[in-house]
Amino acid sequence: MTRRQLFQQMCGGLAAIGLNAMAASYGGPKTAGKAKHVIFLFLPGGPSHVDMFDPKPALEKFAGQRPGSVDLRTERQTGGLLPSPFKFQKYGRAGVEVSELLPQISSVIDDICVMKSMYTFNPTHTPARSLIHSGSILATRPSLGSWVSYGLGTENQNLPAFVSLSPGGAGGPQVRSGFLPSEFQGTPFNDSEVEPEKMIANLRNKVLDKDAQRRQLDAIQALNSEFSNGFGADDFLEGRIKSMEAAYRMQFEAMDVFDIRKEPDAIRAEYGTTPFANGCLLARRLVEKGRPLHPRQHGRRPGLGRPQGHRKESPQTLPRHGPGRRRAHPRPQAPRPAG
Amino acid sequence: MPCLYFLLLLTAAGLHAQPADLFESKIRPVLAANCYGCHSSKLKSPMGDLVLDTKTGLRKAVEGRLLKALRHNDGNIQMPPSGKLPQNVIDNFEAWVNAGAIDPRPDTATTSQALRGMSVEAGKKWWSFQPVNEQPAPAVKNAKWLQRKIDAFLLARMEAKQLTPSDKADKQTLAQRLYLTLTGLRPNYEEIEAFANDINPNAYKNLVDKLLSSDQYGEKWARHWLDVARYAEDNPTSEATNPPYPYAWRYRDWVIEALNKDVPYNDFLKLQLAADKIPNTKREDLRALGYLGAAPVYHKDQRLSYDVIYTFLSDDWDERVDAVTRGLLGLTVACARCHDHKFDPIPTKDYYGLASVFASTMRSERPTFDIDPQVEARFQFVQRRLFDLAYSRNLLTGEASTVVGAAERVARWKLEIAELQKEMESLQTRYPVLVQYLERFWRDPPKQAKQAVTDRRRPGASAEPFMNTVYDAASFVDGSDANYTWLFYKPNEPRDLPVFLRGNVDAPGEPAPRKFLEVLAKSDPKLTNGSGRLDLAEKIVTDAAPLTARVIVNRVWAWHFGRPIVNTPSDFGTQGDKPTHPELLDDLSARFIANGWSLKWLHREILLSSAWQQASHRRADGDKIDQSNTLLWRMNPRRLDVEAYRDSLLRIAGTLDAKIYGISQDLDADTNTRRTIYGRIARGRLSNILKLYDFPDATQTSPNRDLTTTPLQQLFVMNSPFLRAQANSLVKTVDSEPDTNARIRALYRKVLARDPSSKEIDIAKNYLAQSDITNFAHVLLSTNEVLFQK
Repeated sequence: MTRRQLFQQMCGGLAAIGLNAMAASYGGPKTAGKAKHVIFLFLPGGPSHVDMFDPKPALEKFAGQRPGSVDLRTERQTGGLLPSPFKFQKYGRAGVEVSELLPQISSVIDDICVMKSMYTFNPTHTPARSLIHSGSILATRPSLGSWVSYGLGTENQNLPAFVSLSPGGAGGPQVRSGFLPSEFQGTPFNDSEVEPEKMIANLRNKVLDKDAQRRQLDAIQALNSEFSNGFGADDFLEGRIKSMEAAYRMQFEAMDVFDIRKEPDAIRAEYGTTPFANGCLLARRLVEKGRPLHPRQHGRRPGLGRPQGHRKESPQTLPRHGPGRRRAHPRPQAPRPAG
Repeated sequence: MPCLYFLLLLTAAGLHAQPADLFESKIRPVLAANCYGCHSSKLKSPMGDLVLDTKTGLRKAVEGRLLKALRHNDGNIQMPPSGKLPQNVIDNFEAWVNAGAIDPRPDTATTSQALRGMSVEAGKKWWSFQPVNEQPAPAVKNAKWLQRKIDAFLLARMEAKQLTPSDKADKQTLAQRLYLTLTGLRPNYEEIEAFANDINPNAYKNLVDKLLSSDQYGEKWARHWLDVARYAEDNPTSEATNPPYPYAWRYRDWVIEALNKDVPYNDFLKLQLAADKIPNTKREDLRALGYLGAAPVYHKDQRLSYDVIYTFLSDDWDERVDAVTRGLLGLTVACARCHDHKFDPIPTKDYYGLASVFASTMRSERPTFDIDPQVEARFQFVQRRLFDLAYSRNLLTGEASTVVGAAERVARWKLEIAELQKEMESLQTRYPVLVQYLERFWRDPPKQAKQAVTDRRRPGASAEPFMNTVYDAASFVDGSDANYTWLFYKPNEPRDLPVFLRGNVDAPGEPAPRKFLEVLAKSDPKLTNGSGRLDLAEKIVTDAAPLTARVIVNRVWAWHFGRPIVNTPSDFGTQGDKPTHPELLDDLSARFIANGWSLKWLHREILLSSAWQQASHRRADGDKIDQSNTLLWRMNPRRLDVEAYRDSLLRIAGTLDAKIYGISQDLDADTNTRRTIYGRIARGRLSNILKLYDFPDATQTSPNRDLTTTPLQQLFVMNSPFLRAQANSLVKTVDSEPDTNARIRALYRKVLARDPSSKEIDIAKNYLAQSDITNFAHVLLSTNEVLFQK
């Protein structure tokens, strides 16, 4: 089965990522997965695909009009169809069309898979967001990251398998585990901060220094051993002794791993200094350091400092995104949430 | 999830459709959306004997008048009757017919039949739907061990595997286990000693009785139920039209009170589904309706089109169907929203029969005080209408003021608001509180709109005298205004939905009047009284009593033993697990019903058994035969849940505010020292400590909690201000002790409710040589033993 078919036929799209998790009962995919980490950038407020990777010649033809199939009701009043003002050209051996907005990306386009088959059936931000994260508009299903951590597991017990970076470190549909066990829910970290101790709750001990803390932990563990000796072998008791050690180490490791300020200046300059850039760099750092297996980065919330740069850099000011920027589908084909 | 698994199968099957893309992409969806409603092989009598969902049927139509009917150029037959399809769709049909009308499906309807779930007839034989019967206690060799009937069922299975049960746990362990299980609090030193030194042969039973009649019993067990009831105080998104539920906490208090009073489980369910429909219900019991009245709903931006809003509304109904059927009946009925259940005997018609009940039920806020029923009925309708009007007025005078004809609409709505204001203000002398409540709607929109948005997203509980409830009113979507969609409500009118084909509200199929699940109904499945909520509740505890009893007995069993008899507590259908001890579940469920659905009876039956009093440590001989302890040859030790853990820490430190009931408070606030059950529960953003310790996602009913052990939890233990504050408070209570030894002993008694061993005193003194007593208190609070139930 092609990826396209799979994604098309799954209810909302990203629910499909649960494939690995279901592989046991399904009989397994024909080829073994190679992915070890997933970084998912979710960029609300980013430029439209119509201006980047998805040329729509028909928009020229129907410019300014609202033909039947796209005459949709939207929250805000919208005009007719709007063709992209940017020029497209085919790049790479695959001949993928990329607009003039992205000269750097077009130079490496053969390393990128562009999927043009995504669509939404809800024109409102919040439900559509929930849809892309969980395959359901209701924010009640497991999120992409929960499925991935459920399906791929984690090699490293020291940090959560599924990390979500966002300004403010909010939860919501992007970290929900839904009907999956709660251990697969994402741990949100606030990437508006660059100091690890501000990003991770309780990371630093404010009372004891490193040695005093080690002595304290030794005392705890000595008592824990005594208790285990009296009680006998038990998964929880053993697991927690290990987990205490992991947490102790994590205090210092996370101070390093989560600290993007330790990246060389040249690298930081490449990324820039916005919170979004910091988040991207941190996601890369987490993967490279082999810490949490599937960190995930998602971008601004609308209204919270969305990246506006692309507007300023554009050859001309773009009008507000209207319904014409959305792929419209005749109603009967609108997929329903899976039953 | 079975449904997702099935989708994959479908996908795989769809591969064969590759050469006939046209049929799958352009023809079949149109047939399904527009024709199956009347021309499906699933219907008892398809119109004109024409079926379009089988290969044979469709071929007949192609050879007959299909194209003519679609073109509407035959005066005798024009399809679909609702209006001609768009020309491009008809062109597709012509192209498809001209290309040979390739239909890639197998000759008969075998595909769909093969994938169809169990029939209702076959389903009636499914194990979990069978009547429950008391079973004879099986013969065992070691009859001395038996204390309650459940022991015989468990021991017989152990003996068959040459397993012996574990010894009885020591008295200290039993006291600790009982207190934690029944009150959710670690017992203190004095309580344990009192039990250990009680020589009365009935001491154990007396302690069970004492704890079952304590207020703390309800506080502990309400939380178990609230997981099933997906209790929370806000909505997943909490936007303008689905703000938080400020009075939901009164439902939580009702659950605590009902469990303490041991309201029979069948009544307990009936009150939550239909307290308002039961004659002579006490006013305070209407709080039970919070089960439906504070259920998750989705934001409905009324600028969106009819079908988008309608889909949202049907999602709300779907949520109720799912919560009620998985929570109360252990069935995944919501899978049958888009197609007949692929595994269980649940046709879509049954799904919509239940959805119709919830389409006839509307959430409302009612006063806690007694009120003239007619005034209340009007109040419930008006509050919702005013809510929608005020929301619309604010929206179209604010950011959406450019909507076509906004000004005229707003003027009209303001007029209606003013009329309702006049009407309701006439209640000022009799019910000033109601008028005060409604004032928020006729006041002009608040100037600080931005501020209001932030506040809305934070669930705020209110002490105003209201409850989040429901009442009988059908809800509809009005799409007649091309630019603005309305919701409207018809009080005291039921609404029978049609089957929505593939769950699509734009594709109504055959009617699905309010009815109970066919496979469970013992008599006429119709639900006719008003919305049908009370009839539904009755059916759940009469017709479906065997299943309902099995489901709750299995849940209670799991909460006591740490593992259920049926390993899928919310799925007793064909995809769920089979019971490990079927006769035991059957017998216990039968006796549970015979004993008046009394949960306290059920607790006694379990707690007084030898099985529950076993020691919990591993044994090599047991591990060898049954390592997973399926046969319960020992008690399952476990980590405390977040409530018992946090509450016990507060109690140990002497900071616990033990007041029962009341408005909910932020759990992340340092000043909050109330029991965790009184903490604010958010669907939008869960409090940190709950998230850290495996609190379930309250957007849907939770079958069980998975208790994890993670480094982030240990960071909380080692470094959080909360733990440090408890250590500080704790140390103050031992300040007056004369010397270090005495302080160590006192701390041991406070934290672990026992005296230290000499080895432990050595460890403590060793540590204290380089540290101080507060740090040592912190050490004790951090040990495994605090977090562990033996």
